Amino acid sequence: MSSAAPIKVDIWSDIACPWCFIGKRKFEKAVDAFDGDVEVEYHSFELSPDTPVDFEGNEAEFLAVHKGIPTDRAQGMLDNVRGIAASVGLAYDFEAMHHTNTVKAHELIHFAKSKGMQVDMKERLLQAYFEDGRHLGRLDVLADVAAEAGLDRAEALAALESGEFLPSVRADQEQARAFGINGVPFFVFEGKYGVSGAQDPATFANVLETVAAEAAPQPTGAE
Amino acid sequence: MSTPFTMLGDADAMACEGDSCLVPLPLNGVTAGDVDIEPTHDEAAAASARAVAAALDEGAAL
Repeated sequence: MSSAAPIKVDIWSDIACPWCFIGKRKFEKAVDAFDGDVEVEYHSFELSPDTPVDFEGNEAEFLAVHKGIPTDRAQGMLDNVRGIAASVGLAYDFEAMHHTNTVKAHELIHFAKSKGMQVDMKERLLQAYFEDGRHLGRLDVLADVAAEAGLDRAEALAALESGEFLPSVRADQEQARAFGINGVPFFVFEGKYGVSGAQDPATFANVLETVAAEAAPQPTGAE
Repeated sequence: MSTPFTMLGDADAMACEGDSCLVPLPLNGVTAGDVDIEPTHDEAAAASARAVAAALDEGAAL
């Protein structure tokens, strides 16, 4: 813990992005080892906004239908990602996953942000999507996740039904476009340094150390 | 990609762009360019996948 001001890290990601969850774990490992405070703010990024809410079939079948990838190849690719996820302690379940539109999940993250619980909600939604096979395109499921986080279920559901936080989602997306961010996860440190992708913890650690060194008071001269 | 930030880290770190983040992954030594893209009723999606695979062959990474 440090008396210095926390380092601000803005992160654009999507809850349907496998590398975002893996990158989150790697980033957190670097933060845990960092001798200083880090303030994280998540921003919405929809990888595939035209994805339907409901798709019958598992992830391999989605890749086969929408990408023309032979199912056995798609399954092999998913197994590869599953193995990398496991290496950082995540148990991806692509067979149970519900491929869906994520805009409402992003709205819930902004609802949670308004209650001071954004980081917790981000983690819950990633886990719900990749590990628990929950259908995050459905409002009742999202409201359940909100309740599990200790938020008011009825208030969360009303916010999702009204689209109250959709402008906040769109503002994040517009900011990403303005910054030229095309892929996620994308990390911005102190509004100065950009880091793209699920980097190794050592990379995140180096960036944190760089930012901290620049923020440290400089010697005023020889005595 | 052009951003106002000083970019740090490995430029080849894995990330998602569009809905193609899983498609071009190297698999057991097989690169994206080796993946046969079968004709599909969603030809636009298949064309997108081919473009990503071609980009990977040229050194890009997602």
